[in-house]
Amino acid sequence: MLISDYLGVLVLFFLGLLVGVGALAAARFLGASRFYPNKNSPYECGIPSEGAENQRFSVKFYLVAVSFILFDIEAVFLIPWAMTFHPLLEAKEGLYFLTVGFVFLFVLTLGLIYEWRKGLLDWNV
Amino acid sequence: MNETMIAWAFFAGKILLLFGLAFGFIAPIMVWVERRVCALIQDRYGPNRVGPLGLLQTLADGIKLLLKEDLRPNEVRPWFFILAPIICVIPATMAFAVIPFGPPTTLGGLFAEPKRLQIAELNAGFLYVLAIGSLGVYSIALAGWASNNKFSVLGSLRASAQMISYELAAGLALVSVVLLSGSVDLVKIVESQTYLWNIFPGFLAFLIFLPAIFAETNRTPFDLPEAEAELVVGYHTEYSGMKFGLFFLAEYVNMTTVSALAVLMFFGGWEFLPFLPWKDVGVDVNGLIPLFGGFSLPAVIIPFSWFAAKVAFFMFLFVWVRWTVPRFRYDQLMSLGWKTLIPLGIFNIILTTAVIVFHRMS
Repeated sequence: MLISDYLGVLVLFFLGLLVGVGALAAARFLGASRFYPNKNSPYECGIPSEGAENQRFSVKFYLVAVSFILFDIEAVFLIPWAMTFHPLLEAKEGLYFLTVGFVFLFVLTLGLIYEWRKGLLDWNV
Repeated sequence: MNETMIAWAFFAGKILLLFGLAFGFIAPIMVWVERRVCALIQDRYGPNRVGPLGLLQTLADGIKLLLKEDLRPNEVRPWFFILAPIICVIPATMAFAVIPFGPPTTLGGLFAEPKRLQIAELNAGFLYVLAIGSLGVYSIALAGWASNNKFSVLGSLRASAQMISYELAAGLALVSVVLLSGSVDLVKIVESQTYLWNIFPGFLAFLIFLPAIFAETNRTPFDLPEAEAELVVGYHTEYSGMKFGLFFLAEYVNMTTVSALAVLMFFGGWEFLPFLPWKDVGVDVNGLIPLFGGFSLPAVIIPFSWFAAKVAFFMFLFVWVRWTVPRFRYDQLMSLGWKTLIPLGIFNIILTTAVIVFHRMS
C-alpha cells in the first residue's frame, strides 16, 4: 500500500480542525467587539436570569445513558455474528448460526423487557 | 508523471472533491434549498434577491456571520464554550472518509487496475461512520454544559439522550444489512446489491433506519433539542455569529453523510435501477466518454452523478419532512425509540436470518 488508509482519516481530521479554528479566528478578527454588561448576560428573553445555573435534571437521562451502553455493546457484538453468516451458509451451518443468534437475542430481549417492566422507558410520569 | 505522483494526486483529488463538495457546494446549496422549499410549502417567496433565484443568499449569510461580533457571555466556561463548535465540525468532516462515491474504476485507463473512489479503505467500513458520527454527542453535551444556561443544559441533555437512543435503532437496522450483504465494507455492500437492492429484502430495516437518521441529525420531527417554543433553541442558545454557523454547517454536512449512507446501504449506491445495473445498459465504468474536439471524460462520471442524484433526493426528503410533519413530544420520542424501533430491530434481525436460512434449506 503506497498511501496508508489512515492518512486520509488524519487529513480529514486536520481539515475539520482547520475549518473550525479558521472560521472562529476569522470571526474574532473581522467581527466588531463592543462589550457591555447587558449584552453579555445569559440569555433569558430580556429579563434578568432566575434560578440556579447548575439546576437538577431528571435521573432518567442518566439511566438512558447506562442502558445505552449495555445495548450498544450488544449491538456491536451482533456485527461479528452477522459477518459469519455467509461463510456458515456456504458450509450448510445456517441452523447453527440461527440458534446461536436466537439465544443471544433472547437474552438481549429479556433485558429490554426487564427495563420496560421496571418503567425505565416511561417518560410520561 | 510517474506512478507515485499519480497515486498522490488521486488521493488529494478524492479528498478535495469530497471536502469541497460537502462544505463548498452541498451545505450552502442545501441551506438555500431548505429555505426555498419551506417558502414553497408555506406559499411565500423565500430568499430571491441575492443572485439569481437567491442562490447567493447563503454566501451573503456566511459573510454576515463572519463579520458578526464574537460574543462570549459572562457566565460561560470560556474554553469549552469555544471548543464545542470545533468538536462539532471535526466528526462531521471525518465521517465521510469511508463513503465511496462511485464504483472502483481505472479512470479511463489511468490506472492498471480499478481503484476505489473512497478516501480511506478501512476494514471497519460503515462501523467507522457510526463510531465517528456518535462523537457528535460530545460537542452537544459540551455546548450545553459550557453555556451555563438552563435552556442550553436542558436542550443538550435531551439531544444526547435522543441521539444515543436512536443510534441503537440505526445500529440494529444496519446489522440486518450486514446479514443480507455479508460485509461491512460499503463498496462490497453496494456490489452485493447489483441485481437486488437491499431495500426489497430489507424494507423493515429501512423503516427503522429512516426515523433513526432523522433523530441522529436532530431534524424535525425529532428536533426536540431545539424545540423553540420550550427551550429557545436548545443547546446553542448562547451561541451566535460564527460559532452558531459551525453548528449549522455541521448539521448539513451530517445530513449529507447519513443520506449517502442510506443510499449505499439500501438503494444500491451508484447502480442504475433496482434490477438493472449500469453494466447491463452498456456503461463501462472503466471506459471513456468521447466529447467534441477530441476531449474525453472517464465514464465513471455517470454512476457518480447518479449517486449524487440519489443522495440529493434524500436531502430533499429531509427538507420535505421538516415542513410537513410536526414535532413529537419528548415522551413520544423516547417511546418510539425504545419501545417500537428497538424491539422491531431485534425482530427484524431474527426474521431476516430465519427467512434466508430456511430459504437456502428448502
